Parts: sequence; C-alpha cells; structure tokens
Amino acid sequence: MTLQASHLTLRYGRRAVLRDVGLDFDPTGITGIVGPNGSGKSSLLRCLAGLCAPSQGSVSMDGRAIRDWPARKLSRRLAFLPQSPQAPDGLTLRDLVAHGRFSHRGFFRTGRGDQAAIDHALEQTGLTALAGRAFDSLSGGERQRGWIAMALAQQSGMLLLDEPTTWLDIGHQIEVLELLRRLNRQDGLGIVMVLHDLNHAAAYADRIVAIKDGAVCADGPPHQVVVPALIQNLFGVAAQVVDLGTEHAQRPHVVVTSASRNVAYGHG
Amino acid sequence: MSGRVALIGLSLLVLIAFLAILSLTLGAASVDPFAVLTGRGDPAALQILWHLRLPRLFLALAVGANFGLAGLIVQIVLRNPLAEPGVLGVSAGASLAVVAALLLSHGALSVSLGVPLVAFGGAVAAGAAILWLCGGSGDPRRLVLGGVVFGMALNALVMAVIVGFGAGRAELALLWLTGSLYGRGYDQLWPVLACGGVAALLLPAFVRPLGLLRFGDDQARSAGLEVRIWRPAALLLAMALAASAVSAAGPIGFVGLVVPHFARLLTGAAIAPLIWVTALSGAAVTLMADVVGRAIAPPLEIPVGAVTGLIGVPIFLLLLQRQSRRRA
Repeated sequence: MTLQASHLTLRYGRRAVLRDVGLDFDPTGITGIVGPNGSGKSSLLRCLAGLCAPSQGSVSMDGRAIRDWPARKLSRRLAFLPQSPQAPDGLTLRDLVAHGRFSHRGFFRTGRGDQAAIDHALEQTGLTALAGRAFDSLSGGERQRGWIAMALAQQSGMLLLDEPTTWLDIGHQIEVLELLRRLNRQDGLGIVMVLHDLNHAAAYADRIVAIKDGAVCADGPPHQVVVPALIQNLFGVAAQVVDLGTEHAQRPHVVVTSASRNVAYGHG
Repeated sequence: MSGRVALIGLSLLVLIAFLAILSLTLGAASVDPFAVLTGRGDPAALQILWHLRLPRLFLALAVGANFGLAGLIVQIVLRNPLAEPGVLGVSAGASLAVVAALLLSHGALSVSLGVPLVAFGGAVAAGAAILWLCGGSGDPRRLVLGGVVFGMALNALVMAVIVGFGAGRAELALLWLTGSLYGRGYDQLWPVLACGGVAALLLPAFVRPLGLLRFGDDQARSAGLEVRIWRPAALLLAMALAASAVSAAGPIGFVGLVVPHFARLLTGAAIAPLIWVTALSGAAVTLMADVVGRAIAPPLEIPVGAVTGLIGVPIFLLLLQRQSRRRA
C-alpha cells in the first residue's frame, strides 16, 4: 500500500493553504507532521484522507486518486480521526466503536467477524471493561482511546490522526502516544499524525515532516529534523536540543531558551 | 433494551387504539361505532363513520407519522436539535402556493383535490429551491440558515397575499395555515399513505447511514459513508414525507420538532427503534390533538395544528424534567 501526495496545492479563495507538496508515506512507520499554527498541516492531513479536493496536484493511494476511491473501499484501507470529534448523545462506548464497522457491515446484515472486531478494538485500547458505559460519562483520555477504537474497528492498514493529544493532560497524552506506538509496532498499523508538540514527535515518530506556510520545509528522521535552526525557522524561538536517546536510537529533546520571536506573525 | 422498545411500541399502539375509538365516536354528531359495526346503527351513522370519521382517523395517524419522521431525519442529518421539516421550506412553500391559489382563483379551486395538489407542488418547489441554494450537498450550516431565512421570506409573502387579496376569504386561508383535518376524506388520505409507505420501505436502508451522519462529515466519510449521496437522499425523503403531510393537513407545527425528541427520551439513541417510536408517537400525538380539538367545544372544532402545541408542550416539558432528574 502506498500513499503519496504529488504537487499537492490547496487554495481557499486566493489564499494557498498548501503549495506544491510532494510526500510519500511509509505504510509501516509512524510519521509526525509538525509546524506552526495555520501552517497547513491539518489541511494536508485532510487531503491525505481524501476529505478535501486539491486545487492542483493529487493524493493517490495504490496509484489511484484518493478522491476516486469509493468511500467504503477507502475506509477499509485508511481511517481518519479528526481533532475534535463529536459523539451523538446517548451512545455507549460499544455503540460508538460499532460505527467503525460500517464499511464491513453493509446496510442490513451484521458482517461476519463484526462482534469480534469490535471486541478486539476495545481490547487493543484497553477499554474492554468500559464497553457498556455511556460514552459521555468517560474521562477525556478514555474518550480519546474510544475514538481510536472506533477507527481501529475499520481494520484499515493506516490511521491518520489530527492532533490526537489535544485537550489531554500530560499523563493521558503519553498514554495515547504509547498506545499508537504499540499499535504500530505490534499490529503493523501505519500511522500519520499531526502533532503540536515537537518533543512528542521526536519521541514517537520515525519520521518528521515539518510544514511551514503550506510547504514542506524539512523531512527526515527526528535527529535530522529537530535541530535549533529548524525550530528557529518554524516557531521563531531560540532552543537547544539535547539527546535523551539510548545507544540504540537518538532521541532529540527541545528546550526553549529564549521566547523572543523574530519571525513575522501573520500565518496564525 | 429491545424488550423495552417493544413495550414502548405496544403502549403507543394501545394508546392509538383507545384514541381511535374516541375519534370515531366524538364529533358534531354522536356515533356509536360498535353499534354500526354490529349492524344496529342507522344508515346516516354508517355514512358519517365510513366517509368522514374513518378517513379522518387514518389521515391524522399518517400525517402525524410523516411529520414526525421528517423531523427526525432533518434533526439527525442537520445535527441540529432545533431543526424541523419547516427548515426544508416545505411548509412555507405549501402555504404560499395554497394561499395564493385559494385567494387568486376566487374560490374556483377544488378543496379536496386542487388544494392538496397545489400544496404539494409548492412544498416540493420550495424544498428543491432551498437544496439548490445550498449547493445541493445539504451542508448543515448553510441549509439551516438558508432554510430559515427562505422560510421567513415565503411566510412574509403569504401574509402579503392575505392582506392584499384576502377580502372576504381570509378565514379560509387562515384555517388552512393553522393545520386542520376538517372535511378531509379518502382523496387526501391516499397520497399521504403512499409517501409514508414508500418511506417505510426505504427507511431500513437509511438506518446505518443516519447513524453515521450524526458524526461530523469527515468521520462519516472516513468510516465509509458516501456523504455526498446519502445526505441529500435523506433530505429528499424527509421532504417527500413533510410535503405529503402538509398537502393534506396544512402546516401542523410542533409535531416535526418535538416528537423526535419525545421518542429519543423514550428509546435512547439507537436509530432503528427511534424511527418506529417516532412514527407511532407522531401518529398518537396528532390523533390526540384532533380528538381533543373536536371534544372541547362541539360542534365547534379547534384546528389540530392549534391543539398539538397546547397538549404537546406540557407533555414534552414533563418528560424533559423527568429526564434531567434522572441524570442528576
């Protein structure tokens, strides 16, 4: 399975949100997309998920334009979790997760392996014991894992997430990121996620794509991308980068040393 | 859960049966339906029962079910608890068409066939115009705003037509605008039944798409639903249901707005039971309103559209109160 963007350009009116983006995504790794607010990283993710039509260029999966894939077939390959999903009132957690089964179920029948897939998704996210609880009675961290379980129930090969750690405290942020890493390493789920926090991206992504003003400005493994010059360029703050890695892997960690911004505002 | 839903459905059916007997009995002339059924009634009673009360009974049920279902679909698709079939413009479109036709034709319009036809045409035209104005996709925010504004404009035109051309026949137009089942017969019943029947056949296919449309567009689409197809399709279904009901009974307010909430309080969030309980509740509420409207001050009738609000609002507030107490 291949997911690629080539010459991807997206305009809202006359404003270009994405400019000539070309990226190939590894269906087995974890890719973190980072960039300042308004840089176009969420729009990039939505284009990758086939949710907005590019003005120029294309996103394609397995050689076929993503907008040409029938929704049902696409959803068995690619799942997407928006930044602030809204749950209808009155659903239990299990009800919610079951909605992820639509593309396998058809309109009437309950597909073979349906219940098993729902159980498995709940188990993967550690929510089995909470399955019967009302979704809106769950904590923020549990809800986010619930949304991930709904996406997992699609049994797609790749999962795209838009800032999956927003609204969560630091404990639950790490919990969600650890869950995603486990899903990637153990179950082979390919992950592309927009992340707010450079350090999270550095710690959990195999590859970081930095976006600024709608264009790719850096792309590579964390220790190559997360360097003081890039941080200065992206966010306009001076920072030191220390290595918290082991002998097996480098792991850059950003410490901001000066809050003075010396880039122009205006893309927020 | 399904046992609970079955119990709710059964209770509603019993309520409807009880109301049906009242509906056949009460009215300007008192008729004993059991006497007629057992052959002891006089021919006049048989006439009243067969040609007036029976079609009116079924019309109340069908109109209520259709309005309720239309409201449920609109609320789900537009993800807006305040949405009602009127948002699709059908009530305002039908009203303008009927009022204009009634007043401009100088009474030449046949009330039994002409009015429903004109109303249906107006409803469909207004609904199509609103869908088209909002880009055909049924984008919820544009549709709600566009629908409300367009509806206001049409209603302003209705008033303008009444003021300008109403001389002497304004009451006729106003009675239609309130929503009434007075004087309706089989001619008006069949189209409403047909629309309701087609909807009942199609709705099972809509259960899962409606379930997904409750989430945002992005999530529904990435879960595999072709939103561009299913959302307009669901809205068209709601439009047909509401248009048929409006054409027979006029714009009966309230049922399409409140009955879906009422059903949700009874059944919970699952779509399939919600559909059937909404249809039964809409039928029951409308029939109850019709019976009450006829029973309060016979031989005068209070139009059903005026009564739905009067009896429905207290029931709804009571349920809401109970619900919030249970949550607290």
